[in-house]
Amino acid sequence: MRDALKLHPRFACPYSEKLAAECPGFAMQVEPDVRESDEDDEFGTDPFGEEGDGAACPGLKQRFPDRVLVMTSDSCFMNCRHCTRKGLLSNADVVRTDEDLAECINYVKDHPAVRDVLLSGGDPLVLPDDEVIRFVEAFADVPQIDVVRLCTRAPCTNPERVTPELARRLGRCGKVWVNTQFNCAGEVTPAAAAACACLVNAGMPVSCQTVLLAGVNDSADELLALFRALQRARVRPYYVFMCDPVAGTSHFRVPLERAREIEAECAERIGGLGLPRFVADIPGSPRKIPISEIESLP
Amino acid sequence: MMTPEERAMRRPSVMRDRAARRMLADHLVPGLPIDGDPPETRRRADAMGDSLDGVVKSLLSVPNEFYDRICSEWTSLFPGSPSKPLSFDEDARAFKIVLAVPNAGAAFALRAQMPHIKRTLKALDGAPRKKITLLVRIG
Repeated sequence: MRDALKLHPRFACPYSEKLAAECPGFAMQVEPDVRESDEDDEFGTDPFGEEGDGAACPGLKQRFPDRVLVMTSDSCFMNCRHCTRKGLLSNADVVRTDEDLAECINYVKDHPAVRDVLLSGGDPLVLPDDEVIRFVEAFADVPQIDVVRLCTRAPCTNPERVTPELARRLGRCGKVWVNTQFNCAGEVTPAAAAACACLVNAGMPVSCQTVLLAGVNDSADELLALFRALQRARVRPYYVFMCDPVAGTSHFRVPLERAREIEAECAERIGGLGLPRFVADIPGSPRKIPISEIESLP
Repeated sequence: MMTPEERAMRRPSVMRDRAARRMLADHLVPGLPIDGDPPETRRRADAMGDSLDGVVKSLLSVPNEFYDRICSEWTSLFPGSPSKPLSFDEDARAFKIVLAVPNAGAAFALRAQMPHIKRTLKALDGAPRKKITLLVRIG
């Protein structure tokens, strides 16, 4: 347990602490679990090879030909226990200087197939407004870039961070899409819905990437409640991910067969606009794999 | 009474129209398609020499002792693994091994084995000092 906390300390901002006290599903994502130290866990701490040499240039990683990931920060408003990058946060290779950012921009320009830039981290919104806008505008100004994706959990974990002023400035860039993460309906509080409305009203599509987590949302009822709450907040349920193959998350993993049952039940009970794709991200694979394609395990 | 088309023609440009046109113009990259899709078409023209180099490189089989060894020993190194080595590539940062799996189910099962495969390969005699990256190809 001590090792798990050393690798990924417990941390939550005041809003997340309050939400954890009220929402058991959210609390599970905040509170460390003894099973995180499971020594039989076969997975590593860097499943997607993003550490160190994984970077194409400081803070930039390219796994798919048309997208690049830019690490803008190495901290978040809370440390999710299921985090894919739990081994990287706090010492991640992030874009820290103007020179780093210039190098990233040059990399993108040298790779004309790149049309989509993911600003992630950590959470980019831990940065001050001006810094966030600097990142967004730097990439949005590159003509080949169609989409600047802001990957942030702030609408869920610290909705007050999403101010009308920030939303207005982001919306003015014209290329910003927001990807966020809500994992259970209890997380879609009035404050969270207001933050999402702020972003949508400023002209940005907002999508939700949910992670399928045992004990949090591993039932069709819980997921459908989430999808409906998201739709009421005008957030598109986009993906439901199988928990990534990262060490210390064995207690969150939902068996594939169960995931397929949940997906089938959801598909029967909600329209297509409210139904995300259930996928697994496989390190080294050129695409995410819909779990419906995974017909049988060898 | 004016038709919608006539009304549109008579309307003078406003700031919003100009902004929309500017945005379209901003997206134009000389030599690249306007809509940008599919992104695979977004390539700068290669010099003929570079293209020929690429073709020649793709036709030559580059010997690599380490890769040849893991190909021959794969089933004994990783018994029961649904994968097998398909090809390799290397650059300054990483030695990349492409693993072939027969279907999505095998790819999903391979997730759990990848850290073990990487560790085992890294520990072999003659393993490259640089990072070993595994890529997965289905089918």
